[in-house]
Amino acid sequence: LAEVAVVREEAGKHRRYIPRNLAGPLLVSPMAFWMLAFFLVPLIMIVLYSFGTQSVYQTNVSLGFDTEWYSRIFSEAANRKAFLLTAEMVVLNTVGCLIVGYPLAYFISVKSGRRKTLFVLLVMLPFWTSFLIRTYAWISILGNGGILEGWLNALGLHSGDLDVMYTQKAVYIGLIYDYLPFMVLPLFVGIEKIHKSLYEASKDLGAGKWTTLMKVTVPLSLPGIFAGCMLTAVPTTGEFVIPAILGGGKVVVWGWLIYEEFTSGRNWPMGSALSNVLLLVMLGIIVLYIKAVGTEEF
Amino acid sequence: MSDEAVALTPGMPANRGKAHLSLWDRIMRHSDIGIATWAILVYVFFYLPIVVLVIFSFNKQTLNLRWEGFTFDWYIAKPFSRPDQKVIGVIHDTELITAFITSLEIAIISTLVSVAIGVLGSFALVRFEFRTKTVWDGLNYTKIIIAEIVAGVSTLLFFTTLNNWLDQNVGFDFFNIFQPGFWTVVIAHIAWNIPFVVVIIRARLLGFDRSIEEAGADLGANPVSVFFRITLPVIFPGILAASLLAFTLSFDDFVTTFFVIGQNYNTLPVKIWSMVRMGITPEINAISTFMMAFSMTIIIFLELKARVSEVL
Repeated sequence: LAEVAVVREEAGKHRRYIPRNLAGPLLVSPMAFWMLAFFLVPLIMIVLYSFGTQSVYQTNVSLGFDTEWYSRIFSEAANRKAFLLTAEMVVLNTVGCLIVGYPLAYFISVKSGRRKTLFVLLVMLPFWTSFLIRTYAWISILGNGGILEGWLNALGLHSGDLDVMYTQKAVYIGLIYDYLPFMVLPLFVGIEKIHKSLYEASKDLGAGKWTTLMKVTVPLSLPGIFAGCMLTAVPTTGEFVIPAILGGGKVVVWGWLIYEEFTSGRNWPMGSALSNVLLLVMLGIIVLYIKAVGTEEF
Repeated sequence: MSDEAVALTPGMPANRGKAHLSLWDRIMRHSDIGIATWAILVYVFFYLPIVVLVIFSFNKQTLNLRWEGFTFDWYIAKPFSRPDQKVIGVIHDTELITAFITSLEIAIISTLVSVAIGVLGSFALVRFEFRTKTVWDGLNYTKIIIAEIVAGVSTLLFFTTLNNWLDQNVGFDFFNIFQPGFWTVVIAHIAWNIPFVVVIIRARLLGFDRSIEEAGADLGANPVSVFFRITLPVIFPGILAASLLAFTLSFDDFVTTFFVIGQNYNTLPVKIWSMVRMGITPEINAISTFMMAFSMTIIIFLELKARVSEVL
C-alpha cells in the first residue's frame, strides 16, 4: 500500500502545472488585490485625511499631522450629545434584540426537521429585502392617524394621537426590527449546538425550567450570545438611515453627522475624523469580543 | 442507594421533586406555551410591516396612513389619462425605470465578478497553506461586520482622490471610471460582495469529500477536467446561492451606493431614499413592492430549481 501511495504521489507531481506553494497565493491574488485596493487602502486613506488640513476648495487637502478636527469634534456640545445618543442606541438595540430574539432562537432550536428549516428561513427572508424599504414600511403603521393608532383606539387602549413616529421610540422599533436577524441567527447556532440530552439530564436531576435555562442553556449558548451581540452592536454604531427615516431629523446620531459632512456640509476632513472615531469604537467592540470568545468562533 | 435507583427508573412519578422548585421554576413550568406565543408574535412583527407596505401600494389615499379604497393607479396609471389624474404609475415613471435598469446592470456585473473572485479566493483559503491567509480572512470578516457608512465614505474619498490624481498626473484618464458614477458603484459592490461569497463557498468546500477528486485523478483525469467535471458540479449549488446573495446585496444596497454614485446616476434604493425624504406616498409602496416581488421571484425560482436554501 505504501508503494501505491508513493507511485500516486509521483504521478501527482507530474500532473501539476503550477508549483504547489505558488497556487494558493496565485488563487487568492484577485481577492487580495480587490480587498486591499478598495477596502483597506481607503480606510488607511481616511485616517490620513482626517489629520490633514483643508483648503477652501474641498478636494485639495494637504496631508500633515493636525489634530484640529478631532479637538473640534468633541468641543461642540451637539456632537457630544450625538455621541452619547449613539452609545445609548447601540446598547439598547443590542439588549433589545437579545431579549426579543433569545426566546425565538430557543423556540427554533428545539424544533426538528423541516419545521426547523422553515422557521430559520422565515427569519432570513427579510434579509432578502432592502432594509430601506423595511424601515419605510413602519411609517404607515406608527404615524399619527396610522394603523397602530387605529387598532389601539379600537381596543380602547389609547385615545388621540399616538405620537410615536418621529421620536426615539420609533427609531428603536425600527432598529430592533432591522437588526433582529443579525441577533437571532448566531443565537440559534449557539443554542442548537447544545446537546438535547443535557436538558433531559438537568430535568432528571430535579431542575425546573428556570434553573435549566440559567444553568445549562444560557451558559452553554454564551458564544452565540457574544457573536449575536457583536454582529448587532458593531453595525448599529454607524446607523443613520433608520434615525433619519423614523426619527425625522430630530434624532441626530453619529452616522448622521458623517452623512452631513460628506453631503451638504462638504467638509471631508471633518467627516473623516468623525468616521475614524466610529472606526475606533467598532474596533474596540471587536477587541472586546475576541477577548471574550477568542478568534476561533469568529 | 435506593433513592438513586428510583431516580434512574424511567417510570418515576412525574411530579417527583417538584415540591423543591423555586418560585421562578414554578412560574416557568408552562413556559413552552409562552415561548411559542412569543415566537409567533415576533414572526408577526417581522412580516406585518411588509404586508402593510404591499397592501398600501393599492391605496387611494395619497397620505398613505388609512385605507381609503383599492386602486391600481400607483402601478399602471398613465400620466394625464383622465381629467382628475394626478398620479403617475411606476411603470410610466421614466426616472424609476432608468434607476431600475441601472440597479440591474450594477447587480449583474458585480455578481459575476465577485463570484468569480470569491470562488478562487475560497479555494486558496480552504485548500492551500500560505503565510498571508489570516490577513485575507481578517479583511473579509472586518468588511462584513463593519458599519457600512465607514466603508462608503472612505471609498468615496479614495475614488475622488484617485480620480483627481489621475487627471493631474496621468494624461490618460482611464475612461473616468474612478469618477463617482456607475463604475465606482460596481467596484465598491464587488468589494462588498466578495466576503459574503467566500463565506458560502468556503462552507461548501469544507464539506467536500476530496476522495472523489482523487478517484477522478486516479482514473486518469487531468487537473483541469477534475475541476470542471467533479469539483465544479459539486460546489455548483454553493455558487448559485452565493450569486443569489451577491445579487440581492448589490441590488438592495443603499449606503455604499449613495456615497459613491455621484450626481448622474440613480439606483432604485437611492431613488427611493430621495423619494422618502420628500414625503411618503403610495408610489413608494408600489415601487418597493415591485422591488420585493422582483427579488422574491428570483429566490423562489432558484429555490425550486436548485434548492439553494439547503446551501445557505
